[in-house]
Amino acid sequence: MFDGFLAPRYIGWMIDGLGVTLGLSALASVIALVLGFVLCVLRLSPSRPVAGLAAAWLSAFRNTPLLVQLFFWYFGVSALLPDSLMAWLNAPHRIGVEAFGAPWPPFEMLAGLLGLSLYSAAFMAEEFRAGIYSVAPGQTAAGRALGMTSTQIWISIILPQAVRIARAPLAGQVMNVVKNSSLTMAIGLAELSYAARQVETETFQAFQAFGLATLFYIGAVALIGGFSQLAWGRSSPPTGAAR
Amino acid sequence: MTAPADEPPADVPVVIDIQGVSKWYGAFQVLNDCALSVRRGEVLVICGPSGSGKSTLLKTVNGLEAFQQGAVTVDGVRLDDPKVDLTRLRSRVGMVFQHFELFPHLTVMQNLTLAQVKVLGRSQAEAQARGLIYLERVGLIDHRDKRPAQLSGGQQQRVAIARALCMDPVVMLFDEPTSSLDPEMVAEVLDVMAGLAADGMTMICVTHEMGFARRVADRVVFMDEGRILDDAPAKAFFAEGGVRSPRADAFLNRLLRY
Repeated sequence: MFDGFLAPRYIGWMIDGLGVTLGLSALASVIALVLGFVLCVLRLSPSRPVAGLAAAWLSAFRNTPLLVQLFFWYFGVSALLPDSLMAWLNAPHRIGVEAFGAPWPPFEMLAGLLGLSLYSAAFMAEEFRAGIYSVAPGQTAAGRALGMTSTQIWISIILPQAVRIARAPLAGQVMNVVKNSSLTMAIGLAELSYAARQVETETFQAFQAFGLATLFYIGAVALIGGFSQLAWGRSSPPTGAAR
Repeated sequence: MTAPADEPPADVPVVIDIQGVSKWYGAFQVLNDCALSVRRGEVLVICGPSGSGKSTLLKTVNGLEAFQQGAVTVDGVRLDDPKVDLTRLRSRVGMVFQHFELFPHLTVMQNLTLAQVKVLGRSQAEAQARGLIYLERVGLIDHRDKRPAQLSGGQQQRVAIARALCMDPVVMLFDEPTSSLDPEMVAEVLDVMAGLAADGMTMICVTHEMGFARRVADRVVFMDEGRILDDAPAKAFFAEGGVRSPRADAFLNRLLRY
């Protein structure tokens, strides 16, 4: 039975949670994009040991549940780190961002950010790799025939096309980051899902709390979709249509 | 193998010299002791059935295909010389591919200037000026700001020819340049190639266009199973009862039946 809307203060909690979700997702996405690209380059390395290690790393992170990975970073690693370091991590420090009103992040935030970034980076690396593979091998031959070096071919010919091909799936991965960030509630990070759960416990208005959280998630994901369409247009890239 | 008759005068320098080149993929031999030399201004057509090794032989000339035995010399420089800067050498050998291989993310003009700037170190202005000359020559100057995908296959291949010409090549290699084109676009590409030949460009063309070979080529090389079976002046090769191996004879008959 519908028992009215959430009281303003609970909506405030949810908005705070949304802020954490967006901040965490944005940071994790940026880290994952950079790290994913680096992992992809290592994965494609001509050195067998390097490529093999990168492949093992990628499959380890892609083939285990994110929830387990978050527990690993939050509980597992904190048990391994020396007590003094944990105490330091848990205590507030000045990191030069206080002026912007950002406090020293709690350990949940650090562990959540690390777990989410590493997990997402593994998927993004594979999207980059798929993009690179879908650039026709003849393109490399054409570059070589023109006397270009391998580095020049990579920078001027392969990467621009690969990124164009990979950007739609990469945008999808950024949406996944937003959705996956909800799992960090399990390690106590006060993001949107955590806030919804709290509001529900407090008010018993489960439908309203999780309904609003759903709307917020849909909004955030739609924002990413809208942005990527605005940036690159609706049409598929001209790549590949050349033959 | 039939001996090449009326060779060009010996004072014309040899641009490409292929000596005893053999190549294996594992146990399978794709090139078997191939020898070939091309003098400046000569137009050579290599023909033969699919899988005969003609494209592979062509690609040994600019080092796109490695080989295990033999030697290839381009404009006096041996490809296997460890002191040779292979990228430099390649920039002087123009190549046109069956599938054009234009860079789809760049405009026509950018396709023409990229390697000029990156490899030859020309300024943008210089590279564009040269690009315009060759776009004019292939009749596509109005398309300079388009993307390759906006052009027809024949137009793309003409851009690819212009792109290669911008590098001032000593020789142009054509690897089945019309094989992926609609029939009505074949002529526009062959016209450009015939024009180049008439201007004295040294050319090696792998092609099934026997009309082109007959009309434009100085020499015809026929390959089968990795071997060069014929190397003859075009006139002699195509003449009724001309100098050609039985295998080439059968190939020609089959090709000319329809």
